[in-house]
Amino acid sequence: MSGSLVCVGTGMLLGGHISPISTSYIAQADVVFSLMSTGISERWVEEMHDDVRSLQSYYQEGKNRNITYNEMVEAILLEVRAGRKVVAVFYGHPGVFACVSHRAIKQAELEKFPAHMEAGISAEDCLYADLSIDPGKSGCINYEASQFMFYQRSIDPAAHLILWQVGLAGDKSLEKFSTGSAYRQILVDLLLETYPADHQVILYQAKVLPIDIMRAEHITLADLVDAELFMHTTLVIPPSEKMRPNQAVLDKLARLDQQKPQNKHRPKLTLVL
Amino acid sequence: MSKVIQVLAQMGSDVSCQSEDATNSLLVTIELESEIAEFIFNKDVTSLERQLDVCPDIVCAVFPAEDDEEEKDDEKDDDSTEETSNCVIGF
Repeated sequence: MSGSLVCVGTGMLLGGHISPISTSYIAQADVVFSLMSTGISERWVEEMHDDVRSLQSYYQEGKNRNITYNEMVEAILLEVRAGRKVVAVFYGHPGVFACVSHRAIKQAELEKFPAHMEAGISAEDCLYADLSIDPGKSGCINYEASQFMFYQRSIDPAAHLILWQVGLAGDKSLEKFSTGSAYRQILVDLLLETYPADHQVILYQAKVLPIDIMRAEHITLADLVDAELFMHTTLVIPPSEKMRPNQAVLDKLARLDQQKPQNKHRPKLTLVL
Repeated sequence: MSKVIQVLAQMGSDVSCQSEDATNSLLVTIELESEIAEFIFNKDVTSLERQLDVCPDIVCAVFPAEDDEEEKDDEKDDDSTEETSNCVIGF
């Protein structure tokens, strides 16, 4: 009997977002591993199958999360190697801001086991719906907050900037479950290089339980330092500037259009700003 | 499936269970313990978690997948916790 691995996502909302194919994989698995965002959601997954094993026990404050993730991957692979049909269940999308699923699938494939991922509804998907943001309108850049701080990343003030895990911003140790206002001040200082202090930003938390209340708290950028942040709080920074046309490229395109006579009968394209 | 999970799953998936009246009616139909029903009706997640004896301190911090190059570095620095940590951050 050959083992296999499928990583599935439950979506964010208990009961409302899980896909039929993910439900089916869970039902037909030999063993299920879960990594959920609330104890109640974890209980929900536990009730879908007789053998559900939570990966939460590997987390420990003060323990490097890289070690934790490797231990989770090893626990999953152990069952795959034993020839079992393994399903790993993650909240949201199993492949978004989740290294365990990617690492486990990669390792399983290296060991010649069939492994793949099924998409789920992510927190980002919920954010677009809840905050009425269309990422196609003026663009949207997503960074993990700490990564954004540690590396020289570009900010486009004409696009939305979304910083995930802002409650952990600046944690270089990978051992903390939250960082304080001193860390956040450094993040705010970095953002103040681009945005004004009174720029309105949004603290967002998706609804996970049907009895949860979605958080969309508008504050100024300067107030972020002392705001109440959790591990799952996301910072959304709306554009502070309008998009500026790239005239050099527009001129090149216009010249190209003039050179090609066959383009005469095509619909005329207009840049909408 | 336990009654409380059944109620929550139905509330999360059935549009006709969204209003207060519908929630109340669902709680009565499923015959939930009155205390738990009250927690659900009042959207009191903390008390519900306590009542269900589920872990309230769930960790949901994750890091995105690192790229291949970083992973190679990771393998080289296998003995050093700090180096490994930096590699993961470098995803």
